[in-house]
Amino acid sequence: MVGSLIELKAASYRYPSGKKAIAEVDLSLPEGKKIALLGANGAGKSTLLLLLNGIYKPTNGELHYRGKQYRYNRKALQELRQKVGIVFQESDNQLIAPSVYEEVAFGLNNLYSDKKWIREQVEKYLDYFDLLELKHHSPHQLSSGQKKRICLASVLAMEPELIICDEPASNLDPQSSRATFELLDAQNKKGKTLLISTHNVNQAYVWADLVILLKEGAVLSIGSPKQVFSDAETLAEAGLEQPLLVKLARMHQPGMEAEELPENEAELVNRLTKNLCTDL
Amino acid sequence: MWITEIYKHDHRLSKLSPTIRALYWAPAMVLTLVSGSVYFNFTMFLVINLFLLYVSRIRLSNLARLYRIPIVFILVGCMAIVLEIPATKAFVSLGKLSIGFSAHGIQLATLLVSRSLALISIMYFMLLTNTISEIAELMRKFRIPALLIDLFVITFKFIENLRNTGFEMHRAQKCRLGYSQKMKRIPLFAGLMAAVFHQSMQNARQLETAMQARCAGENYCFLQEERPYAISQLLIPVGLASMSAFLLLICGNYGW
Repeated sequence: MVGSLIELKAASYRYPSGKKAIAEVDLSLPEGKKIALLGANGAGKSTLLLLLNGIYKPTNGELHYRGKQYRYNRKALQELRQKVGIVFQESDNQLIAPSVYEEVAFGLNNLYSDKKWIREQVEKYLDYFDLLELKHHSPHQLSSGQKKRICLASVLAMEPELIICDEPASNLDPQSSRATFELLDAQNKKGKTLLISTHNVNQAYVWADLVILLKEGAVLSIGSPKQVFSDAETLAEAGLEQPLLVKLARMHQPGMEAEELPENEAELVNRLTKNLCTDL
Repeated sequence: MWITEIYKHDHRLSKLSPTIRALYWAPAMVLTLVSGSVYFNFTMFLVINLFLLYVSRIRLSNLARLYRIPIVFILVGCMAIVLEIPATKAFVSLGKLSIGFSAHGIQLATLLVSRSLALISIMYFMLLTNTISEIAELMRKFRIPALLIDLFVITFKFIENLRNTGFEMHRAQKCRLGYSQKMKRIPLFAGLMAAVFHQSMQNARQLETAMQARCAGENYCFLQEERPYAISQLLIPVGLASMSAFLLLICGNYGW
Protein backbone atom coordinates (compact mmCIF):
# COMPACT_ATOMS: atom_id res chain seq x y z
CA MET A 1 0.00 0.00 0.00
CA VAL A 2 1.51 3.28 -1.12
CA GLY A 3 1.09 6.19 1.31
CA SER A 4 0.10 9.72 0.40
CA LEU A 5 2.89 12.22 0.04
CA ILE A 6 0.81 15.34 -0.21
CA GLU A 7 -2.91 15.94 0.20
CA LEU A 8 -5.31 18.79 -0.46
CA LYS A 9 -8.43 18.64 1.69
CA ALA A 10 -11.39 20.69 0.44
CA ALA A 11 -8.89 23.24 -0.81
CA SER A 12 -10.18 26.29 -2.68
CA TYR A 13 -8.30 29.22 -4.09
CA ARG A 14 -9.52 32.58 -5.29
CA TYR A 15 -7.34 35.12 -7.09
CA PRO A 16 -7.11 38.56 -5.46
CA SER A 17 -9.55 39.73 -8.19
CA GLY A 18 -12.15 37.37 -6.65
CA LYS A 19 -12.14 34.89 -9.53
CA LYS A 20 -12.36 31.29 -8.32
CA ALA A 21 -9.44 29.20 -9.59
CA ILE A 22 -9.70 26.04 -7.49
CA ALA A 23 -12.99 24.81 -6.07
CA GLU A 24 -12.97 22.51 -3.01
CA VAL A 25 -10.45 20.03 -4.33
CA ASP A 26 -9.80 16.82 -2.44
CA LEU A 27 -6.67 15.30 -3.81
CA SER A 28 -4.16 12.79 -2.54
CA LEU A 29 -0.90 12.16 -4.40
CA PRO A 30 0.62 8.73 -3.74
CA GLU A 31 4.35 8.53 -3.12
CA GLY A 32 6.70 7.27 -5.83
CA LYS A 33 4.17 7.50 -8.66
CA LYS A 34 4.12 9.29 -11.99
CA ILE A 35 1.05 11.49 -12.00
CA ALA A 36 -0.36 13.48 -14.92
CA LEU A 37 -2.65 16.47 -14.38
CA LEU A 38 -4.80 17.15 -17.41
CA GLY A 39 -7.28 19.81 -18.30
CA ALA A 40 -8.12 22.42 -20.90
CA ASN A 41 -6.63 25.92 -20.83
CA GLY A 42 -7.81 27.78 -17.74
CA ALA A 43 -8.81 24.57 -15.92
CA GLY A 44 -6.64 25.55 -12.95
CA LYS A 45 -3.68 23.23 -13.49
CA SER A 46 -0.94 25.82 -12.90
CA THR A 47 -2.76 27.26 -9.87
CA LEU A 48 -3.09 23.80 -8.35
CA LEU A 49 0.65 23.22 -8.82
CA LEU A 50 1.44 26.51 -7.10
CA LEU A 51 -0.83 25.53 -4.19
CA LEU A 52 1.21 22.34 -3.73
CA ASN A 53 4.48 24.31 -3.61
CA GLY A 54 3.11 26.79 -1.05
CA ILE A 55 3.36 29.79 -3.39
CA TYR A 56 -0.41 30.15 -3.08
CA LYS A 57 -2.16 29.57 0.21
CA PRO A 58 -5.62 27.96 -0.09
CA THR A 59 -8.37 30.50 0.69
CA ASN A 60 -10.27 27.57 2.23
CA GLY A 61 -9.23 24.02 3.07
CA GLU A 62 -5.97 22.43 4.11
CA LEU A 63 -2.72 21.15 2.70
CA HIS A 64 -1.20 18.07 4.34
CA TYR A 65 2.36 16.89 3.78
CA ARG A 66 3.09 13.32 4.89
CA GLY A 67 -0.08 13.36 6.96
CA LYS A 68 0.73 16.60 8.83
CA GLN A 69 -1.30 19.74 8.30
CA TYR A 70 0.84 22.38 6.70
CA ARG A 71 1.42 25.74 8.37
CA TYR A 72 2.31 28.72 6.25
CA ASN A 73 5.04 30.23 8.38
CA ARG A 74 8.47 31.18 7.05
CA LYS A 75 10.30 28.06 8.25
CA ALA A 76 7.60 25.69 7.06
CA LEU A 77 7.49 27.38 3.66
CA GLN A 78 11.24 26.89 3.22
CA GLU A 79 10.83 23.24 4.16
CA LEU A 80 7.89 22.67 1.79
CA ARG A 81 9.61 24.37 -1.13
CA GLN A 82 12.66 22.20 -0.63
CA LYS A 83 10.50 19.05 -0.59
CA VAL A 84 8.24 20.11 -3.45
CA GLY A 85 10.31 21.33 -6.39
CA ILE A 86 8.55 23.04 -9.26
CA VAL A 87 9.77 23.48 -12.83
CA PHE A 88 7.82 26.18 -14.62
CA GLN A 89 6.38 26.02 -18.11
CA GLU A 90 8.40 28.93 -19.50
CA SER A 91 12.08 28.41 -18.79
CA ASP A 92 12.77 32.11 -19.40
CA ASN A 93 10.51 32.99 -16.49
CA GLN A 94 12.54 30.77 -14.17
CA LEU A 95 16.12 31.56 -15.18
CA ILE A 96 17.44 34.39 -13.03
CA ALA A 97 21.20 33.97 -12.66
CA PRO A 98 23.80 35.24 -15.14
CA SER A 99 25.51 31.84 -15.50
CA VAL A 100 24.39 28.21 -15.59
CA TYR A 101 26.51 27.43 -12.52
CA GLU A 102 24.89 30.18 -10.44
CA GLU A 103 21.43 29.15 -11.68
CA VAL A 104 21.90 25.56 -10.47
CA ALA A 105 23.33 26.85 -7.18
CA PHE A 106 20.49 29.36 -6.65
CA GLY A 107 18.03 27.22 -4.65
CA LEU A 108 20.77 25.44 -2.72
CA ASN A 109 22.37 28.76 -1.78
CA ASN A 110 19.03 29.96 -0.42
CA LEU A 111 18.58 26.80 1.64
CA TYR A 112 22.00 25.91 3.01
CA SER A 113 25.08 27.72 4.29
CA ASP A 114 27.77 25.08 3.71
CA LYS A 115 29.34 26.50 0.53
CA LYS A 116 31.65 23.50 0.05
CA TRP A 117 28.75 21.05 0.07
CA ILE A 118 26.69 23.32 -2.22
CA ARG A 119 29.55 23.46 -4.75
CA GLU A 120 29.89 19.65 -4.68
CA GLN A 121 26.15 19.29 -5.19
CA VAL A 122 26.16 21.79 -8.08
CA GLU A 123 29.05 19.98 -9.81
CA LYS A 124 27.23 16.66 -9.33
CA TYR A 125 24.04 17.91 -10.96
CA LEU A 126 25.84 19.80 -13.73
CA ASP A 127 27.58 16.54 -14.57
CA TYR A 128 24.35 14.51 -14.32
CA PHE A 129 22.51 16.88 -16.67
CA ASP A 130 25.48 17.12 -19.03
CA LEU A 131 25.87 20.84 -18.39
CA LEU A 132 29.49 20.97 -17.23
CA GLU A 133 30.72 22.48 -20.49
CA LEU A 134 28.04 25.17 -20.35
CA LYS A 135 28.51 26.15 -16.73
CA HIS A 136 29.96 29.59 -17.49
CA HIS A 137 27.43 30.40 -20.23
CA SER A 138 24.52 32.73 -19.76
CA PRO A 139 21.41 30.49 -19.55
CA HIS A 140 19.40 33.03 -21.56
CA GLN A 141 21.55 32.48 -24.63
CA LEU A 142 21.05 28.71 -24.81
CA SER A 143 18.51 26.58 -26.70
CA SER A 144 15.07 25.73 -25.27
CA GLY A 145 16.13 22.13 -24.57
CA GLN A 146 19.24 23.26 -22.71
CA LYS A 147 17.23 25.86 -20.77
CA LYS A 148 14.77 23.16 -19.69
CA ARG A 149 17.67 20.96 -18.55
CA ILE A 150 19.07 23.86 -16.51
CA CYS A 151 15.67 24.47 -14.89
CA LEU A 152 15.38 20.78 -14.03
CA ALA A 153 18.94 20.66 -12.68
CA SER A 154 18.38 23.74 -10.56
CA VAL A 155 15.25 22.24 -8.97
CA LEU A 156 16.54 18.67 -8.65
CA ALA A 157 19.76 19.86 -7.01
CA MET A 158 17.57 20.79 -4.02
CA GLU A 159 16.64 17.06 -3.87
CA PRO A 160 12.87 17.44 -3.60
CA GLU A 161 10.64 14.46 -2.82
CA LEU A 162 7.92 15.63 -5.20
CA ILE A 163 8.95 17.03 -8.58
CA ILE A 164 6.30 19.16 -10.26
CA CYS A 165 6.66 20.07 -13.92
CA ASP A 166 4.27 22.49 -15.56
CA GLU A 167 4.04 21.41 -19.21
CA PRO A 168 7.52 19.83 -19.33
CA ALA A 169 7.44 19.38 -23.11
CA SER A 170 6.20 22.86 -24.06
CA ASN A 171 8.37 24.64 -26.66
CA LEU A 172 10.56 21.55 -27.01
CA ASP A 173 11.29 19.56 -30.14
CA PRO A 174 10.48 15.79 -29.96
CA GLN A 175 14.09 14.86 -29.16
CA SER A 176 14.43 17.38 -26.31
CA SER A 177 10.99 16.40 -25.06
CA ARG A 178 12.00 12.73 -24.97
CA ALA A 179 15.26 13.61 -23.20
CA THR A 180 13.32 15.61 -20.59
CA PHE A 181 10.97 12.69 -19.91
CA GLU A 182 13.92 10.30 -19.69
CA LEU A 183 15.48 12.51 -17.03
CA LEU A 184 12.18 12.62 -15.15
CA ASP A 185 11.75 8.84 -15.38
CA ALA A 186 15.26 8.33 -14.00
CA GLN A 187 14.25 10.42 -10.98
CA ASN A 188 11.10 8.34 -10.54
CA LYS A 189 13.21 5.17 -10.51
CA LYS A 190 15.12 6.70 -7.60
CA GLY A 191 11.83 6.91 -5.72
CA LYS A 192 10.82 10.51 -6.42
CA THR A 193 7.17 11.31 -7.02
CA LEU A 194 6.49 13.11 -10.30
CA LEU A 195 3.55 15.36 -11.10
CA ILE A 196 3.28 16.92 -14.53
CA SER A 197 0.59 19.10 -16.03
CA THR A 198 -0.03 18.57 -19.72
CA HIS A 199 -2.52 18.80 -22.58
CA ASN A 200 -0.89 15.90 -24.34
CA VAL A 201 -3.25 12.97 -23.77
CA ASN A 202 -1.08 10.59 -25.84
CA GLN A 203 1.97 11.30 -23.68
CA ALA A 204 -0.02 11.08 -20.43
CA TYR A 205 -1.62 7.75 -21.42
CA VAL A 206 1.65 5.88 -21.90
CA TRP A 207 3.65 7.70 -19.22
CA ALA A 208 1.49 8.15 -16.14
CA ASP A 209 0.57 5.76 -13.32
CA LEU A 210 -2.25 8.03 -12.22
CA VAL A 211 -4.25 10.61 -14.18
CA ILE A 212 -6.15 13.56 -12.71
CA LEU A 213 -8.66 15.35 -14.92
CA LEU A 214 -9.43 18.94 -14.03
CA LYS A 215 -12.27 21.18 -15.17
CA GLU A 216 -12.93 24.72 -14.00
CA GLY A 217 -10.83 24.22 -10.88
CA ALA A 218 -12.51 20.97 -9.80
CA VAL A 219 -11.40 17.35 -10.14
CA LEU A 220 -13.55 15.74 -12.80
CA SER A 221 -12.01 12.30 -12.78
CA ILE A 222 -9.08 10.48 -11.19
CA GLY A 223 -7.73 7.00 -11.81
CA SER A 224 -5.37 4.88 -13.87
CA PRO A 225 -4.77 6.07 -17.46
CA LYS A 226 -6.89 3.21 -18.78
CA GLN A 227 -9.82 4.12 -16.52
CA VAL A 228 -9.72 7.85 -17.22
CA PHE A 229 -9.01 7.71 -20.96
CA SER A 230 -11.57 5.01 -21.69
CA ASP A 231 -14.35 7.46 -20.78
CA ALA A 232 -14.74 9.60 -23.90
CA GLU A 233 -17.66 11.60 -22.50
CA THR A 234 -15.81 12.80 -19.39
CA LEU A 235 -12.79 13.65 -21.50
CA ALA A 236 -14.95 15.70 -23.87
CA GLU A 237 -16.47 17.47 -20.88
CA ALA A 238 -12.94 18.41 -19.80
CA GLY A 239 -12.23 19.72 -23.30
CA LEU A 240 -9.91 16.85 -24.20
CA GLU A 241 -9.89 13.93 -26.62
CA GLN A 242 -9.13 10.26 -26.17
CA PRO A 243 -5.53 9.21 -26.88
CA LEU A 244 -4.85 7.83 -30.35
CA LEU A 245 -4.04 4.39 -28.91
CA VAL A 246 -7.44 4.17 -27.24
CA LYS A 247 -9.22 5.35 -30.38
CA LEU A 248 -7.40 2.79 -32.55
CA ALA A 249 -8.00 -0.04 -30.07
CA ARG A 250 -11.72 0.81 -29.89
CA MET A 251 -11.92 1.08 -33.71
CA HIS A 252 -10.43 -2.37 -33.93
CA GLN A 253 -12.59 -3.80 -31.17
CA PRO A 254 -15.61 -1.63 -30.29
CA GLY A 255 -16.79 -1.93 -26.72
CA MET A 256 -13.36 -2.92 -25.42
CA GLU A 257 -13.29 -2.65 -21.63
CA ALA A 258 -10.97 -0.14 -19.95
CA GLU A 259 -8.74 -2.85 -18.45
CA GLU A 260 -8.31 -4.50 -21.85
CA LEU A 261 -6.91 -1.36 -23.50
CA PRO A 262 -3.30 -1.64 -24.73
CA GLU A 263 -0.66 -0.02 -22.57
CA ASN A 264 1.52 1.21 -25.40
CA GLU A 265 2.03 1.21 -29.17
CA ALA A 266 3.98 -2.07 -29.11
CA GLU A 267 1.15 -3.91 -27.37
CA LEU A 268 -1.42 -2.61 -29.85
CA VAL A 269 0.72 -3.59 -32.84
CA ASN A 270 1.27 -7.06 -31.34
CA ARG A 271 -2.46 -7.56 -30.89
CA LEU A 272 -3.27 -6.36 -34.41
CA THR A 273 -0.56 -8.60 -35.92
CA LYS A 274 -1.80 -11.56 -33.90
CA ASN A 275 -5.39 -11.00 -35.08
CA LEU A 276 -4.25 -10.59 -38.68
CA CYS A 277 -2.32 -13.87 -38.52
CA THR A 278 -5.34 -15.65 -36.99
CA ASP A 279 -7.65 -14.26 -39.72
CA LEU A 280 -5.29 -15.42 -42.45
CA MET B 1 24.03 46.92 -28.85
CA TRP B 2 23.90 45.71 -25.26
CA ILE B 3 26.71 44.48 -23.07
CA THR B 4 24.94 41.20 -22.29
CA GLU B 5 24.72 40.48 -26.03
CA ILE B 6 28.48 40.64 -26.57
CA TYR B 7 29.70 39.44 -23.16
CA LYS B 8 32.00 36.44 -23.62
CA HIS B 9 31.91 33.98 -20.73
CA ASP B 10 35.34 32.67 -21.73
CA HIS B 11 37.16 36.01 -21.53
CA ARG B 12 40.85 35.89 -20.59
CA LEU B 13 40.29 36.87 -16.95
CA SER B 14 37.49 34.36 -16.34
CA LYS B 15 39.72 32.05 -14.31
CA LEU B 16 40.51 34.83 -11.83
CA SER B 17 38.35 35.74 -8.88
CA PRO B 18 36.32 38.98 -9.20
CA THR B 19 38.52 40.54 -6.47
CA ILE B 20 41.71 39.96 -8.49
CA ARG B 21 39.89 41.17 -11.59
CA ALA B 22 39.02 44.36 -9.74
CA LEU B 23 42.75 45.06 -9.41
CA TYR B 24 42.88 45.46 -13.18
CA TRP B 25 40.29 48.24 -13.31
CA ALA B 26 39.96 49.80 -9.84
CA PRO B 27 43.43 51.51 -9.71
CA ALA B 28 42.91 52.82 -13.25
CA MET B 29 39.56 54.28 -12.19
CA VAL B 30 41.03 55.99 -9.11
CA LEU B 31 43.98 57.41 -11.07
CA THR B 32 41.69 58.74 -13.81
CA LEU B 33 39.39 60.35 -11.26
CA VAL B 34 42.27 62.20 -9.58
CA SER B 35 44.10 63.02 -12.80
CA GLY B 36 43.88 66.49 -14.29
CA SER B 37 45.98 65.55 -17.31
CA VAL B 38 44.41 65.26 -20.74
CA TYR B 39 47.37 63.22 -22.03
CA PHE B 40 47.12 60.75 -19.17
CA ASN B 41 43.36 60.35 -19.69
CA PHE B 42 43.66 59.76 -23.43
CA THR B 43 46.53 57.31 -22.86
CA MET B 44 44.38 55.42 -20.34
CA PHE B 45 41.47 55.40 -22.79
CA LEU B 46 43.67 53.95 -25.52
CA VAL B 47 45.46 51.40 -23.33
CA ILE B 48 42.28 50.21 -21.58
CA ASN B 49 40.51 49.69 -24.89
CA LEU B 50 43.40 47.77 -26.41
CA PHE B 51 43.64 45.64 -23.27
CA LEU B 52 39.85 45.18 -23.29
CA LEU B 53 39.88 43.93 -26.88
CA TYR B 54 42.53 41.38 -25.95
CA VAL B 55 40.96 40.31 -22.64
CA SER B 56 37.25 40.27 -23.49
CA ARG B 57 37.67 38.68 -26.96
CA ILE B 58 35.02 41.01 -28.41
CA ARG B 59 35.29 42.53 -31.89
CA LEU B 60 36.47 46.11 -32.44
CA SER B 61 33.24 46.93 -34.31
CA ASN B 62 31.15 45.81 -31.31
CA LEU B 63 33.26 47.83 -28.92
CA ALA B 64 32.98 50.88 -31.19
CA ARG B 65 29.20 50.50 -31.23
CA LEU B 66 29.14 50.55 -27.43
CA TYR B 67 30.66 54.05 -27.48
CA ARG B 68 28.05 55.57 -29.81
CA ILE B 69 25.51 56.64 -27.20
CA PRO B 70 27.94 57.91 -24.50
CA ILE B 71 29.95 59.89 -27.08
CA VAL B 72 26.80 61.63 -28.35
CA PHE B 73 25.85 62.58 -24.78
CA ILE B 74 29.36 63.82 -23.95
CA LEU B 75 29.67 65.90 -27.11
CA VAL B 76 26.25 67.47 -26.69
CA GLY B 77 27.13 68.28 -23.07
CA CYS B 78 30.48 69.78 -24.12
CA MET B 79 28.84 72.12 -26.62
CA ALA B 80 27.35 74.07 -23.73
CA ILE B 81 30.84 74.49 -22.22
CA VAL B 82 32.65 75.31 -25.45
CA LEU B 83 30.23 77.86 -26.91
CA GLU B 84 30.54 81.47 -25.86
CA ILE B 85 27.69 83.94 -26.33
CA PRO B 86 28.47 86.80 -26.93
CA ALA B 87 31.88 85.68 -28.17
CA THR B 88 35.10 87.66 -28.37
CA LYS B 89 36.07 85.73 -31.54
CA ALA B 90 32.76 84.94 -33.21
CA PHE B 91 32.45 82.44 -36.04
CA VAL B 92 28.80 83.19 -36.66
CA SER B 93 26.58 86.19 -35.90
CA LEU B 94 22.83 86.14 -35.62
CA GLY B 95 21.89 89.81 -35.76
CA LYS B 96 23.66 91.38 -32.82
CA LEU B 97 24.31 88.01 -31.22
CA SER B 98 27.82 86.69 -31.82
CA ILE B 99 28.51 83.01 -31.27
CA GLY B 100 32.01 81.56 -30.89
CA PHE B 101 34.24 79.23 -28.95
CA SER B 102 35.84 80.23 -25.67
CA ALA B 103 39.48 79.24 -25.16
CA HIS B 104 38.87 78.31 -21.52
CA GLY B 105 35.76 76.35 -22.53
CA ILE B 106 37.72 74.34 -25.10
CA GLN B 107 40.35 73.52 -22.49
CA LEU B 108 37.72 72.45 -19.98
CA ALA B 109 35.76 70.44 -22.56
CA THR B 110 38.91 68.59 -23.67
CA LEU B 111 39.60 67.60 -20.09
CA LEU B 112 35.97 66.56 -19.64
CA VAL B 113 35.92 64.51 -22.84
CA SER B 114 39.23 62.80 -22.04
CA ARG B 115 38.25 61.97 -18.47
CA SER B 116 34.76 60.80 -19.43
CA LEU B 117 36.06 58.56 -22.22
CA ALA B 118 38.71 57.06 -19.95
CA LEU B 119 36.15 56.38 -17.22
CA ILE B 120 33.64 54.91 -19.68
CA SER B 121 36.31 52.59 -21.07
CA ILE B 122 37.13 51.45 -17.52
CA MET B 123 33.42 50.92 -16.84
CA TYR B 124 33.13 48.81 -20.00
CA PHE B 125 36.20 46.87 -18.93
CA MET B 126 34.51 46.10 -15.63
CA LEU B 127 31.19 45.11 -17.26
CA LEU B 128 32.77 42.99 -19.99
CA THR B 129 34.92 41.00 -17.58
CA ASN B 130 32.35 40.49 -14.79
CA THR B 131 28.79 39.21 -14.66
CA ILE B 132 26.22 41.24 -12.77
CA SER B 133 26.27 38.77 -9.89
CA GLU B 134 30.07 39.00 -9.66
CA ILE B 135 29.84 42.78 -9.43
CA ALA B 136 27.16 42.40 -6.74
CA GLU B 137 29.42 39.98 -4.86
CA LEU B 138 32.28 42.46 -5.10
CA MET B 139 30.01 45.20 -3.76
CA ARG B 140 29.18 42.93 -0.82
CA LYS B 141 32.89 42.48 -0.10
CA PHE B 142 33.31 46.26 -0.08
CA ARG B 143 30.55 46.45 2.58
CA ILE B 144 28.14 48.39 0.38
CA PRO B 145 24.67 48.25 2.02
CA ALA B 146 22.61 45.22 0.93
CA LEU B 147 19.68 47.47 -0.03
CA LEU B 148 21.80 49.28 -2.63
CA ILE B 149 23.16 46.01 -4.02
CA ASP B 150 19.66 44.55 -4.35
CA LEU B 151 18.47 47.75 -6.03
CA PHE B 152 21.39 47.51 -8.43
CA VAL B 153 20.60 43.87 -9.31
CA ILE B 154 16.84 44.46 -9.58
CA THR B 155 17.31 47.54 -11.77
CA PHE B 156 19.63 45.63 -14.07
CA LYS B 157 17.21 42.69 -14.28
CA PHE B 158 14.23 44.96 -14.94
CA ILE B 159 16.03 46.88 -17.71
CA GLU B 160 17.01 43.57 -19.27
CA ASN B 161 13.42 42.38 -19.00
CA LEU B 162 12.08 45.61 -20.56
CA ARG B 163 14.59 45.36 -23.38
CA ASN B 164 13.72 41.74 -24.23
CA THR B 165 9.98 42.36 -24.09
CA GLY B 166 10.28 45.59 -26.06
CA PHE B 167 12.38 43.94 -28.74
CA GLU B 168 9.93 41.05 -29.21
CA MET B 169 6.86 43.29 -29.30
CA HIS B 170 8.50 45.75 -31.70
CA ARG B 171 9.33 42.85 -34.02
CA ALA B 172 5.71 41.62 -33.80
CA GLN B 173 4.46 45.12 -34.71
CA LYS B 174 6.81 45.32 -37.69
CA CYS B 175 5.72 41.87 -38.88
CA ARG B 176 2.19 43.26 -39.13
CA LEU B 177 3.39 46.28 -41.15
CA GLY B 178 3.55 48.56 -38.15
CA TYR B 179 5.59 51.76 -38.58
CA SER B 180 5.06 51.66 -42.37
CA GLN B 181 2.98 54.86 -42.28
CA LYS B 182 4.69 57.92 -40.87
CA MET B 183 1.52 59.34 -39.31
CA LYS B 184 0.91 56.20 -37.27
CA ARG B 185 4.41 55.85 -35.85
CA ILE B 186 3.92 57.89 -32.70
CA PRO B 187 0.63 56.25 -31.56
CA LEU B 188 2.11 52.84 -32.37
CA PHE B 189 5.22 53.59 -30.32
CA ALA B 190 3.07 54.82 -27.43
CA GLY B 191 1.04 51.61 -27.61
CA LEU B 192 4.25 49.60 -27.65
CA MET B 193 5.57 51.33 -24.54
CA ALA B 194 2.33 50.70 -22.62
CA ALA B 195 2.27 47.03 -23.65
CA VAL B 196 5.98 46.59 -22.86
CA PHE B 197 5.55 47.91 -19.32
CA HIS B 198 2.50 45.74 -18.75
CA GLN B 199 4.19 42.60 -20.07
CA SER B 200 7.41 43.35 -18.21
CA MET B 201 5.51 43.62 -14.94
CA GLN B 202 3.95 40.21 -15.62
CA ASN B 203 7.34 38.70 -16.48
CA ALA B 204 8.85 40.19 -13.34
CA ARG B 205 6.03 38.68 -11.24
CA GLN B 206 6.58 35.25 -12.79
CA LEU B 207 10.32 35.49 -12.14
CA GLU B 208 9.59 36.44 -8.54
CA THR B 209 7.30 33.40 -8.18
CA ALA B 210 9.97 31.11 -9.63
CA MET B 211 12.52 32.54 -7.20
CA GLN B 212 10.18 32.09 -4.24
CA ALA B 213 9.61 28.48 -5.32
CA ARG B 214 13.35 27.97 -4.84
CA CYS B 215 13.31 29.47 -1.36
CA ALA B 216 14.65 32.92 -2.31
CA GLY B 217 14.98 35.23 0.68
CA GLU B 218 15.18 38.99 0.92
CA ASN B 219 18.58 39.29 -0.73
CA TYR B 220 19.60 38.30 -4.22
CA CYS B 221 22.47 35.95 -3.45
CA PHE B 222 24.25 33.97 -6.11
CA LEU B 223 27.01 31.49 -5.51
CA GLN B 224 29.89 31.64 -7.96
CA GLU B 225 32.31 28.90 -8.74
CA GLU B 226 35.31 28.91 -6.42
CA ARG B 227 38.41 30.40 -8.03
CA PRO B 228 41.74 29.80 -6.30
CA TYR B 229 43.91 32.78 -5.29
CA ALA B 230 47.65 32.88 -6.02
CA ILE B 231 50.21 35.60 -5.39
CA SER B 232 51.40 35.30 -9.00
CA GLN B 233 47.96 36.51 -10.14
CA LEU B 234 48.75 39.87 -8.57
CA LEU B 235 51.88 40.51 -10.65
CA ILE B 236 50.23 41.79 -13.84
CA PRO B 237 47.58 44.05 -12.25
CA VAL B 238 50.06 45.49 -9.74
CA GLY B 239 52.57 46.05 -12.56
CA LEU B 240 49.97 47.80 -14.70
CA ALA B 241 48.79 49.94 -11.79
CA SER B 242 52.39 50.96 -10.98
CA MET B 243 53.05 51.92 -14.61
CA SER B 244 49.82 53.97 -14.72
CA ALA B 245 50.77 55.77 -11.48
CA PHE B 246 54.26 56.45 -12.89
CA LEU B 247 52.73 57.87 -16.10
CA LEU B 248 50.45 60.10 -14.07
CA LEU B 249 53.45 61.37 -12.08
CA ILE B 250 55.32 62.17 -15.31
CA CYS B 251 52.27 63.98 -16.74
CA GLY B 252 51.88 65.91 -13.50
CA ASN B 253 55.60 66.75 -13.32
CA TYR B 254 55.75 68.17 -16.86
CA GLY B 255 52.38 69.88 -16.54
CA TRP B 256 50.82 67.92 -19.45
